[in-house]
Amino acid sequence: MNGNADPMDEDYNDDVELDVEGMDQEMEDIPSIYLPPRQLIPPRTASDIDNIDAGTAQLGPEFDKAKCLMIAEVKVILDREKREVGKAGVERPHNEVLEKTLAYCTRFSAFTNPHTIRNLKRSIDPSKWYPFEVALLGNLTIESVEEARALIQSLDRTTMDDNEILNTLNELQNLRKYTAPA
Amino acid sequence: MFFLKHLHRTIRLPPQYFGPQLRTAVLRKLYEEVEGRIDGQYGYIISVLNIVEVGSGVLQPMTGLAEFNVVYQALVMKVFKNMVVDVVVTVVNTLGFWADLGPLTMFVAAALLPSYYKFDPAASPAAYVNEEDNGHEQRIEKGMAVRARIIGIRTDATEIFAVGTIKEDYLGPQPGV
Repeated sequence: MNGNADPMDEDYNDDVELDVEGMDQEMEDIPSIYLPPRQLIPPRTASDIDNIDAGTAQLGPEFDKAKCLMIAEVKVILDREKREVGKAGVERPHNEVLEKTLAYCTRFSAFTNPHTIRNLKRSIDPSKWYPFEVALLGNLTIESVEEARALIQSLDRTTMDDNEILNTLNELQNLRKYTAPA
Repeated sequence: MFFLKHLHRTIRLPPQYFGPQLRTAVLRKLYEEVEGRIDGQYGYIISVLNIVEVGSGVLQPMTGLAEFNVVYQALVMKVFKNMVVDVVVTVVNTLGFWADLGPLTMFVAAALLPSYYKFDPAASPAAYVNEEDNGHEQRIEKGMAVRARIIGIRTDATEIFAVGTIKEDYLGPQPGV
């Protein structure tokens, strides 16, 4: 599996050689199939996991390293999943959750063209923006820097200044307006 | 909020499946057990995207089941406190309104609507109406898109339920969507 493969590509599921040197250091650890010896698992109580505050954009160890997707990207992936459900040969039970999610994503997907989404992701500087914030920017139609600061509380930090936010918002608006539908 | 996560699950197969379709049976069981369900840590597991690895089956001495450790990549949806989302209104009544965020249900209480929204029971469909001075009226009714901030989440075995507010700047009905 190519660690840097884009899930929106048509050939994502094809086997590609593992590119060890190209692997991004920040990626999540893939669990191993070799489990440690079984131990008693303590019952799960309502703990910190339920109260992670998105205001800091730190989502806990589970989600900080996982790839965060925008609604438009999810729509592309789900469309492909729907097409491939018949092909693989293993029957999958009818997935109500998938239908609802697809309906939601179709309604709120601001971009239809996968190339636009890729361009957008490339234009946002990952060293300044947290992935969670990038996804929020892509999902919500934000028009001004004030709106961005009000809706995404984690922008309130020293490394993020208004110019940066303004530039990114302008990029987003341009991409929304001037792209041809797929 | 949608994430791509690599997850792991132990699939146990009874001996009736120990035949030429063994791997297919493991995958089918995985899809049954995981797709469309909720995991406490990861939220809704919407779809299994691909299978990374299926371990060798280990026979359990007492039960005779074979255990397979499967690692797969899934699309999960999890929401967090204080995040802003767009939701679709489904039910409106005097207590507030219910809205859907894909498979997740959110409730916004009447107390968390700005005070200028009044419930209009006579309207069909029922709606919260905001009469502004310049005659420009805003409504919250079934089928509309509303932007809300999540302030609480409850997860149980069959669904995730959130509570939200629109009593802040830049939140509320989004007419263009």
